[in-house]
Parts: sequence; structure tokens; C-alpha cells
Amino acid sequence: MEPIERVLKAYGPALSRVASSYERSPAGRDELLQDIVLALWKAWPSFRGECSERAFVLRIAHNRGLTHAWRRPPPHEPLDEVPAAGEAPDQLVAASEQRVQLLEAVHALPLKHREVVLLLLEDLSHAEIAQVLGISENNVAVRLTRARAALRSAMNPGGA
Amino acid sequence: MDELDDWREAWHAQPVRDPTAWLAKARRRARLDDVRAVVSLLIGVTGYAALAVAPAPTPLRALGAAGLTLVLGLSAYALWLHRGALRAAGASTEAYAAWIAARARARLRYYAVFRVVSAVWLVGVALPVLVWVEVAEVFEHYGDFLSGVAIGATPLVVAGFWLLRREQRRAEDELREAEALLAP
Repeated sequence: MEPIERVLKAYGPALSRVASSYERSPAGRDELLQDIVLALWKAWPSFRGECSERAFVLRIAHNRGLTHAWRRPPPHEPLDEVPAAGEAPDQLVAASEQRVQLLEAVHALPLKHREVVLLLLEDLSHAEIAQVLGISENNVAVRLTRARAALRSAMNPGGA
Repeated sequence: MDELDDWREAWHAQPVRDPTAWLAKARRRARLDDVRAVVSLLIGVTGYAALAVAPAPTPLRALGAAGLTLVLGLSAYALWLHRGALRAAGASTEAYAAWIAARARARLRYYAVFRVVSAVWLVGVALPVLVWVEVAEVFEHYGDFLSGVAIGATPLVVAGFWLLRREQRRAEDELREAEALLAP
């Protein structure tokens, strides 16, 4: 297996989630994911291990996502959610609603807060988030506090 | 379970696509980019070779050489930008946003230069037309050629102005977004 195939197998789900956080329509998500794969394919030979492999992959995905978001203003259409396999009908509705609510809330965040929240949701440590964003860990902590508050308020618009 | 765990659970439960399916397409696109670069280079080199072995230089050949030089210069600039893009792709988000901002500023400068050069060109074309009665004798030999260039290139400059407005708005948007991301 080629290194790039191994990387895509390992981080494919994370890349797909990053694409869904920068693009609402399924067709646009696929297009962005293709762009990310192409950017990864081109940039992979230049990876010298100056940061972790996961940080490098997520850097490329977020950078492509930013360019995508800047070039295309988000359309005001509801998110098209596909149910995950293996969910019972009653669980399916609740879980799907929660996923859509979270994704809507993530989309509502300013890009600066969105990227730091996404990395947190992808289980990256503060040090890894700092590597991806190119900022200090203290700065990460400050941004995370603001971003979590913004996400909390977006998830509970009534302030519950 | 705290709210972060809830969010993480919902986040990871999203349906995902398998990006390995697009690997073959990415390979094809990358190969196409390489082929395009090589073909452009070959066309440029062949053009120069044809001009070099040509007998006595004529104004038309000189114009051709100037055009080729311009195309090769632009290709080299595009390659330089592409190299920068490759480096920036794997850089941190802050470094990437700084690169995007620098690129947008360079584009806006380039558009400003284009606007000035185009305006000079339009004036340069308009002047001989306005005083054609006086200069017709001087340009008699190249009259047909010059009028062809003027008539052919003027609509291109006008179309260029129209396209430029759209590209300029895009560059301004990119610059504004990148600066917002870089703001403390």
C-alpha cells in the first residue's frame, strides 16, 4: 500500500468531517474532499516530520477548507444529513437531530472559532492544535474558551 | 458525561465518505497539470527555436518574440506561484492565511498595473487614429498590420477590464477574510 493510501485510510473519516464542516451541500462536500485529496497527494512528498502526521494532514484539510469557504459564500439551505448505518428508527431520529444541530452550530461559528472547535472535536491535544494552527498553546486555550462558549450558545439559542 | 463528550460523540457519529475513492482522480489531475506544464514549455522552446533559425528579423517576428517572452514570463510567474502554493498547503493555518493575504495583495497590485498599462495602450491606439491624416504617410507600410493589431486587441483589453472587476472583488474578499483570521 502506498503511503498516501495508508494516510487516506487512517484519516479519511476525519477529512470527510472537516469537509462537511466547511460545506453544507453534499455535492460541494464531495468536491471539497476531492480538492483535499489532491492537495494531500501533492503536498505529501514535502512532509518532513516537523509536526505529527495527523497535524500535517489536518493542516492541509483546513487550509483547503478555508480557501473553499472564502471563495464560496455559504448558501442558506438546510443541511442534508444522511443517517448513519445501524441505527434503530427511534434512535435514528434523535441522533440525527443532534448531529444536524451540532453541524448547524459549527457552521454558524466564525472561521477562527470553527477551526479550533473542529480540532478539539477530532480529539487533538492543545499541543497538536497549536501545531495545526501555528499559534502558541496559551493562544489555543484562549481561543478554545471563546469558541466553546460560542458553540454552547449556538447549540442552546434559548440559553438553556 | 460533559458537554464536550456529547459533542464529540455526535461529531464522530456523522456519516463519512471514503476519500480513497478519489485517489485515482487526484493522480490523473496531478498528471494532467504536469503534462500541461511540459507542453507549455515545449511550445515556448519550439517558438524561440523557430525565431532563432529564421532569416532576417521582421517587425512581425520581433512582435512574436516579444509575445513569446511575455507568455514564458507569465508561465514562470505561474510556476513560482504554484511552488509557493505547494509550500503553503502544508503550512500551519496562520502561515497559510498570511500567504493568502500576501497573494491577494500581489494580485491587487498586478490588477492595478494591468489597468494602467491597458489605459496607456488604449490612449496609444486612440492617438494615431485621431491624427491618422497626419501620420498615415509615416505608418503607410505597417498600416494594415497596425490597424489589425489595434482592432483585434482593443476588445480584448475591454473584456480584460470586465473580467478584472470580478477577479478584483474575489481578491479583495480573500484579503479581508485572511486578515480577519490573522487579527489578534
